[in-house]
Amino acid sequence: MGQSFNPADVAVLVVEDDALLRAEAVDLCIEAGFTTYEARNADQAIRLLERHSEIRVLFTDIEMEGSMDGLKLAHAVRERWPPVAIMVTSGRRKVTKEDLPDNGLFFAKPYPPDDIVKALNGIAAQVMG
Amino acid sequence: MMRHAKLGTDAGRTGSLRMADLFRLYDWASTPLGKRETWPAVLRTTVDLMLASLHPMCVMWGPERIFLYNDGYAEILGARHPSALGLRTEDVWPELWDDLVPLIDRTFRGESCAFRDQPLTMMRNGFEEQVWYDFAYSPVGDERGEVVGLLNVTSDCTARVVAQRERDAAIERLRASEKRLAALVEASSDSLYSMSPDWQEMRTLQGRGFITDADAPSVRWMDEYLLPEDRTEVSDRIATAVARTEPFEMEHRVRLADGSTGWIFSRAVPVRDGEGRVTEWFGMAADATARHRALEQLRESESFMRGVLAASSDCIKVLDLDARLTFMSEGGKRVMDVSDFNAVAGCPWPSFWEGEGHLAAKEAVAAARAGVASGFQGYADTMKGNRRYWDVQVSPIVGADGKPERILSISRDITDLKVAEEARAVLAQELAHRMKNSLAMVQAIVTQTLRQAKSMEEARAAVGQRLSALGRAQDILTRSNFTEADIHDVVAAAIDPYRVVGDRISWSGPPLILTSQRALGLSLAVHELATNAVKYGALSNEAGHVAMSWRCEDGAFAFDWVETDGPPVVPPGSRGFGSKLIERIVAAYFEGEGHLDFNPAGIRFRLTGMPGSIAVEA
Repeated sequence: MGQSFNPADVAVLVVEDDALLRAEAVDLCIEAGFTTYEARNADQAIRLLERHSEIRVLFTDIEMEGSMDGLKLAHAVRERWPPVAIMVTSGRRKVTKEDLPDNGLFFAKPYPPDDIVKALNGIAAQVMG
Repeated sequence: MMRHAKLGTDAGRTGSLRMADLFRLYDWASTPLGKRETWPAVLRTTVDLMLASLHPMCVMWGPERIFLYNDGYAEILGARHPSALGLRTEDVWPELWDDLVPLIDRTFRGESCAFRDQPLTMMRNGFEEQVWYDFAYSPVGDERGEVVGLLNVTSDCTARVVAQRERDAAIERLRASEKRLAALVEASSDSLYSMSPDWQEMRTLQGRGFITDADAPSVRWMDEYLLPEDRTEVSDRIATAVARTEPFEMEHRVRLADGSTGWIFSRAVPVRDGEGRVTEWFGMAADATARHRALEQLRESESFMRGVLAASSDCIKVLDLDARLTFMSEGGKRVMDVSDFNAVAGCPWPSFWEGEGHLAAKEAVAAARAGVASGFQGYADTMKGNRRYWDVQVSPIVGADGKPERILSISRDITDLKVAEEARAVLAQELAHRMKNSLAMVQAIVTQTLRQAKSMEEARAAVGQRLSALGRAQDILTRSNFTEADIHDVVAAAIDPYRVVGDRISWSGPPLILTSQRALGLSLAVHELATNAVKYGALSNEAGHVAMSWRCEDGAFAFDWVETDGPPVVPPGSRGFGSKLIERIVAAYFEGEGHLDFNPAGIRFRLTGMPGSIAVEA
């Protein structure tokens, strides 16, 4: 690919309540070379973000149990950690640009793994560039 | 002349004098009769008789027909009294003289003449008065039988004549009245009948075509004309009329001439004789059949329309052109919880609607006023505040002039339909979501399998089996709308493809309800363990056993897979997706841990977790 950056310097936080889907998403990110954290709900995600400042991408599902769903989490993260790029996925909802924080990306489930990898690389290129 | 002058000057006095006095005072010597003392006996006798009589009388005497009269006759003379006394008759009655002469002459020849009911106009009471008198002329003869005078005896027959005339007039009036009555009866289409005083016998009946005529008296008239079931009521009414001698009046059914049943309005009055006894009853019966049939049809039609309106559970309303409620059907009151229509009568109908429905209702009214029917759907509360969803049709009711004069609104409660529609939409969305979730799971399983497969063949087999396990778990979840499943069913379905001869696979545990996610996870775990057992473990030889057991105690869930009597266990060099699945993924579903133990005596797997939403069945 001729990347001009080291993906491992960019950490991705995967938030997904379904263990199987989370495992696959995590594997996908790791395979793409990114440092990857995982959380099964918004509360865990916030705690990880607080501890790991290298997290530059939030990749979250929308439907989750807990104090926040994925969209609220995305907005909360944009508020507290403005540089963190936002990627949102859902099998239930059609999400529009208006629902997302600025520059947020949406992927309908099931998503092609390559689309995720491309998006992650794009974000990493911007962050590193 | 002197006599006249004398009488004339004494007129005021002589007017009140009695005739006897006048006779005494009168200067008879100046008349052809001569002095009174010289009068023949027959004249004196006649005059005395006349003056003594209360009947008006006069005498015409001698060839000069000298006129003498008494007090009674003075009234007849009126103003000619008292100067008429002693004059020649032709001077007293010059206007009648020509008529009287023949009669007077006949009397002087010895005949008697009588004239009845002679009209006279009298002023005896100070005003003109029409009276009638009878006159009788009798000859008066002297001792030799010669007729020398005429005595006229009169009587006032005014009362008789007046009575006679009144009777004649009354008879004439009666005759005219009877003629009119006869014409009326003839012109009427009503039936006429007469009955005996006690109504036992019908004497006559003219049926006028609609009822059979009765030509001869009949005591069986009730059988002939009445319906058996009406006889008691009619008889009672007749008995009352007869007992009170009051007119009988009743509308009742009757057998018509054509054999069918009709209605008559019958009225009869008692006819009495001179002593007041009822001699018969005379009645008329009008044919009321057409009116009754029309009424019955109207009643039937009204009752039909009412029934239709009441039977419909649609809310059928009529509004005036200002959209105010003027009518609501029975069914409508039922579905709108209206117990008293007065509570809503006159209310503006669009105000029953909320939000968009309010605007739609106003538009529909405006369209109906313009003659256009329209419809809409919306929410409106019933009078008890139940929110219902209605399908509404609004149409103009067109008057005779072709212009809308009222508005018909029919609302159908389609809340159930709406709820079902919404539920279906929710379900469809839910299914779409579940399907996408399943596809995401399939994608994860396939990707994970491919990522760690050593060959395409191995990957194909593993993907097929894993998706099959997922499919069987879905089957169980389908029964409960994809929300939950009993752990027994989940385990049985997961292990089913690996059942071998004999009781080599067993499972036990309390009934437990698993969420759909846990059911899918446990299915995949059992599948992975069983696949491994068939390939390398207790199910790969003829003697091995697999025992599954689970329990839920002290707020913790535990599931055990224990293999015995299989070939010796060799731990695998690398962990594949299978072990990742059962150790990490399924454990995560149960919010606990999965531990795989490659015990040489047999593989053991223990899954522990939180009971979470696992419920213990009663």
